[in-house]
Amino acid sequence: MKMDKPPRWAVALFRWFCNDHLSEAVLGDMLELYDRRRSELGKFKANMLFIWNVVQFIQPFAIHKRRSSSPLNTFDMFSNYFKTAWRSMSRQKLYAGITVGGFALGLAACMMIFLFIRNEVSFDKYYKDGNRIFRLYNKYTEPGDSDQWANVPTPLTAVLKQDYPDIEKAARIMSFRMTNVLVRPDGSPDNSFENGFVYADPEILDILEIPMVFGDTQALNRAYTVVMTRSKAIQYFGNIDPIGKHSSLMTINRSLM
Amino acid sequence: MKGTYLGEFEELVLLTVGILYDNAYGLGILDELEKQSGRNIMISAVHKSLVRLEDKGYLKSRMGGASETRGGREKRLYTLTAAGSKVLAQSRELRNSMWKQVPKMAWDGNNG
Repeated sequence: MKMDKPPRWAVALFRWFCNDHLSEAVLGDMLELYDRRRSELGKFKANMLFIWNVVQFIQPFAIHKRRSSSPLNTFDMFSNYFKTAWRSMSRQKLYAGITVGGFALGLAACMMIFLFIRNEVSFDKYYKDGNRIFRLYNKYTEPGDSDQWANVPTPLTAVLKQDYPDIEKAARIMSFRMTNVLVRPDGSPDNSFENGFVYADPEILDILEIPMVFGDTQALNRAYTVVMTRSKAIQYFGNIDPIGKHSSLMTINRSLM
Repeated sequence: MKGTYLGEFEELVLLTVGILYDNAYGLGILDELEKQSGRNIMISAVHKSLVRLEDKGYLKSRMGGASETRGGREKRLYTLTAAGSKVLAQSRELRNSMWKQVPKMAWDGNNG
């Protein structure tokens, strides 16, 4: 049977203030007493009496170090270390400076590298296959000039898939800030203006692992379809579940201007 | 330092250590004292006296006798020293000689 134990903090308190001469023996006595009381009076009373006993021992005779006690003195030991270290450094100022300065510089560099790398790897965590998604860009260099940009020729995806079988999926996005559109849901007399609008290849939904609330990532395979965010869908159709229609996206594509 | 003066409680503790002979440790002494005197005694008081008596040279101690009920902790076992036995004997002699000096009348007067 596992024995109950008195409150751990009380034991710790006792060990903390009591000198080594008494600590072990008295704690043993009190545990023996505790065990006896626990079976006679119950755990709560035994705990209370244990704490009371600990408090009773807060007296000079139990606290003061005795001559027979262990002479370990870590405080003096460490203060001696610091003192001798300081003195030897004061004697050798140049070398101490180089050592301490170099160490500080190294530590600082380490921390900067750590911060940089942490920043570098913090992007695109959202994508499960993030390490397999790439964006193509152009890089142009000539002596004295260089530039890079992300526009690529329109036929590129087809060429890529044909020439490089390793490429599983490829999609283009045509996104310009000035791509403003007017949206009108069926039954609504008014057009609404939208400007966060892009044209894209259907596979973009798969590649970017866009979570679909309704429908699936094949949504763009048909002509005249549009995918919108949940909040936009609510704005245009209200907070309803469009399951039952072929797709909520189908409903609005004809309204698209 | 209070010198060699022996207090009443200290004397009882010293005697108990003698009674328990080979198994005189804090809690055992407390149990024996409570049984003998009928008093309610605090464990800290016992240890306080033991420490003081050891300082005065009437007791010596060693560690030993760990057991499961004590969480595996050892006891501090006390034994009388020669000085301890001597001071007990002196105390007893002093009492005896003083007892003898009390006239019989005094006892009778108290009863009457």
